Parts: sequence; structure tokens; C-alpha cells
Amino acid sequence: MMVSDRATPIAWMLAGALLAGCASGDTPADPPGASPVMRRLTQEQYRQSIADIFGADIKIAGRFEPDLRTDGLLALGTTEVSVTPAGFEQYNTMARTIAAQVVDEKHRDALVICKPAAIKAPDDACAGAVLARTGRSLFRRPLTKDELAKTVSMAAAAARTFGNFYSGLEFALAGLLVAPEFLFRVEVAKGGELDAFSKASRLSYLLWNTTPDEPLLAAAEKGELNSEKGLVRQVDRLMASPRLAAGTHAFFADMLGFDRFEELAKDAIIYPAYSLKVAIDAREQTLRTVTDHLIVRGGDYRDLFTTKRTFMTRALGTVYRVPVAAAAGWEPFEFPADDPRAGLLSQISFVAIHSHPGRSSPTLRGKAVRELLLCQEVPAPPGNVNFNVVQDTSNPKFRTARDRLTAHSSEPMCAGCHKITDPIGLGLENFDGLGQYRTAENGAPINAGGELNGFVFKDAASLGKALHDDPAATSCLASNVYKYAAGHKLRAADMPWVEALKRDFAAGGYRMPDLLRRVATNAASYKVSMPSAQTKVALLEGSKP
Amino acid sequence: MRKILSGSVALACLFAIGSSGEAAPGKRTIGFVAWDFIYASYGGGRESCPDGFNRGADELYLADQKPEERERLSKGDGARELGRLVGVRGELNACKNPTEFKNYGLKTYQGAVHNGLNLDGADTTTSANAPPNACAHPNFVSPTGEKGIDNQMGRAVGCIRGYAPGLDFDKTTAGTLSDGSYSVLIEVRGVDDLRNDPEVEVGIYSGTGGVATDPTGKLLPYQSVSIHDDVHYHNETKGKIVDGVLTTDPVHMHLRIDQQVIHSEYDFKDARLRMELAPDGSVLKGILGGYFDIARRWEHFVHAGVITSRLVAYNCPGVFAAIQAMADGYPDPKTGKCTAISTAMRVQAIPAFVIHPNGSKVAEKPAATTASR
Repeated sequence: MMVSDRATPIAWMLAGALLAGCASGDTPADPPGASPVMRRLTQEQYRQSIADIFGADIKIAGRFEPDLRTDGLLALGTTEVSVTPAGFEQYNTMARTIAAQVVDEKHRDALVICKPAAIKAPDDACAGAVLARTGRSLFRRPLTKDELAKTVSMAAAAARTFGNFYSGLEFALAGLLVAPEFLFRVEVAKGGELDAFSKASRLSYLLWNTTPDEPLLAAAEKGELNSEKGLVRQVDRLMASPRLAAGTHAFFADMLGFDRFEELAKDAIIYPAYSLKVAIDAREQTLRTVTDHLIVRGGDYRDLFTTKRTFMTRALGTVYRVPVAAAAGWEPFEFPADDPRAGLLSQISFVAIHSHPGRSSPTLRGKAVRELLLCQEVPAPPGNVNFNVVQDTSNPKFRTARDRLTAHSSEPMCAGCHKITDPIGLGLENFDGLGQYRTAENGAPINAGGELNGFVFKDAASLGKALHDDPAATSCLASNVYKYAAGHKLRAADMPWVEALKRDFAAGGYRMPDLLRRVATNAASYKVSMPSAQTKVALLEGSKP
Repeated sequence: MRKILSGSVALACLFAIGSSGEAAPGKRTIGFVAWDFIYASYGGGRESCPDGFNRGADELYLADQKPEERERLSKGDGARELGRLVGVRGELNACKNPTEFKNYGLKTYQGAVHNGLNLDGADTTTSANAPPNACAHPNFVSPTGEKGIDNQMGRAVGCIRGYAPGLDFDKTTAGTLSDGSYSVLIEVRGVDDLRNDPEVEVGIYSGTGGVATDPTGKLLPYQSVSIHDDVHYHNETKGKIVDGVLTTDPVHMHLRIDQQVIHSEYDFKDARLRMELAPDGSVLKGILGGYFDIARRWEHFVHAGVITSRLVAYNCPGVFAAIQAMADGYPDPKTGKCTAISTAMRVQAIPAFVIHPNGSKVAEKPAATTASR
């Protein structure tokens, strides 16, 4: 959404990407700015923001609106979603619950910074102080005079109605919590670039996946984020924090498509070891592996596809069939060098979510590798496909998935797409639909060999090596980080800079912190372009019924 | 086989090779968690219990009463009164103080065949002569024809309905083993060959911290289960594997039992295992034989109480007297009266990782599965 000023915050949501010329050569010119965007907070961002503003013990009860995946990322989908009436009811319920807790006797002393002159009457001074401070955190910028005045007035009216200052405050706080300025990250343009508070939000949600903290807001207020030095200082501070792991965690949860865990189901007869606990731990295992390798150890991104290091819980250990000493919680784990498991592809999270409830799926797994890890699009199957051969795992003629898919792909209309996906997915056939290791299916030995972009592999471990060496994997990550930060698809105008980003990523040994720092400190990425008058008119005309 | 250092780790893993120096190179450590650990009941039909199952003290008491009194005591306040009459009297109750209440006697197992092991090395199948250091008792023949089987506990309780195969105690035990109330772990270390190994080291432990089950309540294989913190429940012995059958040397064994209202321990003297190991190591099943310390075993009956005795149909004074009379092991040097009774437990276990208290961890190669799907 394009935003020209704060008085009309939702005026240009549908503004299209603006293309502009770009320089060529080794040092590309800065990309011309895209339109500012307006992003709905994800569930995790909402929860973490509330925890940071009011405390981790504030309970949040309600159902969040479904997310939308656009161009491979939920982060981009957040710019295309709105709040439905039903969703608003949920936000409203959550807001009232949160506000009630903030002013209750348990939290009041810590979160309400002043005492009212009289508890049964309004106190504009005290309410104003509380709402200005809290509103600044919630809106990620100071409230305007008008906004503050209206909110204080609302608190006073409610206090009179209920005969209680805190009830009035609760009412006003709930209002702030359902305001678009809280539920959406509203980017604001000023002088051809994002204003300082919008920059602060981008930085904070990119690196920590939460609302800007007080030092970041203060830096924005002082205009420090508008200078390269000030921007770098804040990026350094945010990146030095342990909270960088949370930001990385969120990015990879998005990139790896882990929202699929919310609908993951397994047949309990076929996979008795599956449980909700296994699903939760499997998701967390991969994200821990990623953040430990990339952030704690500063490792090479490519090694995520071959690493033997991970973390285990007892629930996972039962599926992986490995010992776990810790009776509760997590412990580091390293698979032996000759173990068939290596890298993210062999973890339960990947093979289980890209499977069917009762069987594995080389096609879904291959598609996921292509789309999520290599940023390559796989066409959707036609609507009239006959899946009978693939789905019948009891046919003695086709005992393995390879047998079944070979038979299925003999149909010309299927062969094209399956050539793109299946050779990769068949490399993971030693892991069943839950991710348990196996060497045979229906008594027939599994052949997990295949080929990825010319690299021949014999099993999951060597498939991981193939991915490790595939330049598309690192290129995909760099593109995704850029899009995740900017909130828009790659435009032609972005490409030279993104290509330079990829080169820098490679030159630095594929270190995630370097990639994040490069994106976060790139002043040009905060440049914005406003739609021309003609575009605005065209959009408005187009929006008429 | 190399001895495991005290307090060191021996994470069990089927087909695992080595374990951080506890076993010599090439040796395997295999671990199991029991899903079945209960009296090795047998028979219970007309041949072994020709007079039928025992009845509870309340039924026996009522049988002695006139019809109108029987009617009065069968419902309402009368039923409560019956409970007191047969089971509770002031501070006394029939299981805690069995000699203070009427002994209705006990129908005991009359069959010739029963599960168990030859604990005393003697064969008194056809004679009741007392072997050395034991009290006179007849032996059983095992279901496979082995003579000299010692299982006097089985003889005592074999016609109590609750102990019959597949009935009350079987179900209760399966339930409490799968809900993690208590657990029994077995670890075999220093294994060269799953079929034949002349010397292995065996640990039998109580577990702690719960177990993992599938949605139907069955224990999941390959889970990690911690050994009880209290070394009192760590039992170590030696053994051998012959043609896939593991047998162990006798050891005084203590294992926890936390089963509903029973919170006590199994105190087995001269306890030893005879268990079949599936060729692929996926199942371990067989018998744990030994002598129950009578006093400790009676503690289970005390905890179970009068209510249990009525539910599963036995009278505590009768069982108490039978156990005392049938005790066949560990005679008191002064009185000559035996203080322990031979018994047999049925044990069935699946592969698991046995985690020792110090928690050290070793990554071992998991067994490949050939399972379909």
C-alpha cells in the first residue's frame, strides 16, 4: 500500500510496482524505491509485540486470521491481506482481554505509570501519560496530537460511564489494540524514503520479528536512522542481541513453509509414533538447527543441507530412533558420519510435511525442494489427473513409490511435471511419511538414487550435498531475504542490486548475518517511489464499482 | 564383555556398535522397556482349579448367613455393615491384620503345569522332599516339559480370579506400565552375537520419568527411558545367550511397583531371567524367576486393601495363611520356617534406549527398519 501522509493511511494499498531504469556493471545503482507497504502483523509478531510491550505473562486468547503466501513468502502475503469482520471480532476479543489484564491489580503497578487523582473519575493527565507511552509502543511511533486527544477523551468517557478510571483506561487501550496502526505495520513515506519510524519497524521485524524497542524508537525520533552511521549503529545493536535468533527463526519458518504444520495430520495406524508433540518438536528442531548453525556458529548457509548437527527431544528421538538423555527439553545431537541422515532435507519437518497422511510423496518433496529452497516454480497439475496408481500402495506390481510414479508418469500429460519433481523426491524415499528411516517398502528395497540439475546422488545425504553445491540454493535465500525485508516481489529494477547482494553473500562465505546486515543497512532499500498522479487516478477509477 | 564403570553411561541401542568406551569395540548394547511385567499366570481352568475360583470374604461371609440376613447385608446400610464385618474392625483391617480376621481358607492351584524356573536346582515334581536350604514343596512341570519348576506363589494365587490370564491384574499392570506409573528396563551389554554369546552383562532397572505410547496406549519402541535415580533399583548381573535365549546369574533384585494404590517394591531373591530374544532384536520375552520376600510381598496386599480383595475375589486371611504355608525359600536359621516364596513373572519388552542417571549421551547408529510405508 502506498501511503503519502499519515492523514490517509490506507489510501494506496493497491498501488502497483513502479518500474524504473537501472544501472549496469559491477556496482549497480541503487534500485529505485518501491511503494511503501502496509503489512498485517503475523500471529507470531502480534504475540511477541504484546509480550514485549506488556510482558510475557499477558495471555492472548483468540483465533488469528489465516495468512496468505505470496511469491513463496507469507511476509509478502501480509501486504495483501485485510481484516475480515469475523477476524475483527477476534482481534477485538483479544484486545479487550489484553487491556483488562494490563489494568488489573496484578499488572497495574508495573504497566500503568501513574496513579489517578481519584479512582472513580477520569484523570486526563494520568490517562494521557499512559496512553501516549503505550500508544507509542503499539503504533511504533508517537501518537499524533489528534490521536492522543481522541484516545484520552475515549478513556474519560468510559471512566465516567463505568465510574472507574481503570475501566476507562482499559477501554481506550482496547481501542488502540484494534487500531489499523497496530494491527498493520503502516509504512510512511517522507522525502522520497521511508520515514524513520517505518525504518525502525522494518529493522525490528526483520531482525527480531517484534516491535521496535525503546532505543530503536528513540533513534528514529532523533532522526538517527536517516544517516548511514546512525542506521548502522542500530543494525549493529540489533544484530548483537540474542534476539537475532528469533528473527532468523521467523524468517526460516516462513521460507520453509512451516505454516503447513498447522494442518499436518498423520494416520495413527500407519504412524503410531506421530503425535502433536512430535509435530511441534519437529518444527522447532529444524528452526533450532538453522539458528544454531547460522547465527550461533556463524556457519555457511550451504552446510545446512549436509550438517550432522541438530537438537533432540525424547519425542523426536523415538521417531529418529536415537537415544536422548534429557528427560525434558532439548539437547544437542550429532548424527554419526555414516548415518543416512544429513541436513535439513532428512529432518522430520521436511519429509513429514511434504508427505501424505498415510504415505510419503516424492512429488511433494521434490516440489518443495524446487519451490522453497531453489525458488523454482513447479506448475500445478491439471485438474483431470488419475492418481489411482500412485495412491494404491498395496498393488503388488508397484511396491515402491518409484514403481508407482514410473507407472503414473508414463502418461504423457503427467510426465513433464514429474520429471521436475520426482527425481529429487525419490532421493528422500528412505524416510517414510513421518520421517522414519526405512530401507524397503512393501518388502522391496528402496532405490534412493537420482539426479539434481546434473548432480547424480545415491541417497538423501548425497542429495543434500547436491543442494549444497547448487548455486540456486544460495541465490534463493538471498532473494528471499530481500523480499522478506522489503515486503514486495522482486522487480526488474531490483535485480542488479539483488545480484550484487548474491555476489557479496558468496564472497563472504554464505554467512546469514552478513546477508541480513547488507539488506538492513542498505539505505537505498528504504527509498520509496510515490505513484504518479496519473497512476492514482487510474487506480481510483479502477476501484469504482 | 567389558565391565561398565560405575555411574557411567550405557545408552542402549539395538545393533549399536560401541558406546563411549563402556563396551569393547564391536560389542553391542541393547536395551528394552517392558510393556508386560506381571505374574506368569497359567491355566485357571477346571483342571487347575477344579473347585472354581475363590470368592471374596464378603461373599463367603454371606454364604454363612440366613437368607433374610443375606438380603439385609446385600444393600444400603447393610452392605456398608458387611464391609466392616469382613474387612474392617476399628483400627484393624483384614489385609493389614490378616490374623485378626476369620480365615475362610483359599482354593489353591491344583494343576501340574505352571510357568516358572527351577530356582533351587532340585526336582521335587513327584516328591515333596526338601532340597537343601529350602522348605519342602512340590514342583511344577513347565509348559515346555521342563521339570522342577518352582512357583509356589503361582500355586497360592492361581485360583484367584484377578490373577487369571487376561483378567484384572493383567489389565491393571498393562495400564500402569503404559501410563508411566512405573517401568522396568532391561539392558544387555557387551553383546557380540544376538544368537550366542557366552558372556554378557545385564542390567535390570526401574525406570522413571514416564514413557511414550501410541494413541492406543501401546508403548512405542525406540523411546528413551531414564533409569530410576535410586541405585537401590539398579540390578546388575551377568548372563549368556544360547540359541537366542538369554539367561542370567541369580541376583537379589529390587524393582519399584507403583500400581494404583500400591506403592512398594518387588523384592526378589535369587532372581534370574530366561528370555527369548527375537533374531532381529525387536522383542525380548520370557520369565523372571525368583523368591519373593514374604513380608515385602504382603505389603502389596496391604496397600491393595480390603476393597481390592472384594473386587477381585480373595480373602486376605486366606491368602496370607497360604503364602506362609507354601513359602519354600530362605528358611529362617532359627525356626526353619521359610521367609520367601518362589515365583515367576512374565516379562515382555520392546527395544528402548536405557538412559543412565548421569545422562551422558552417545550417538549410536540406529537400527534400519525394513517396515513398509
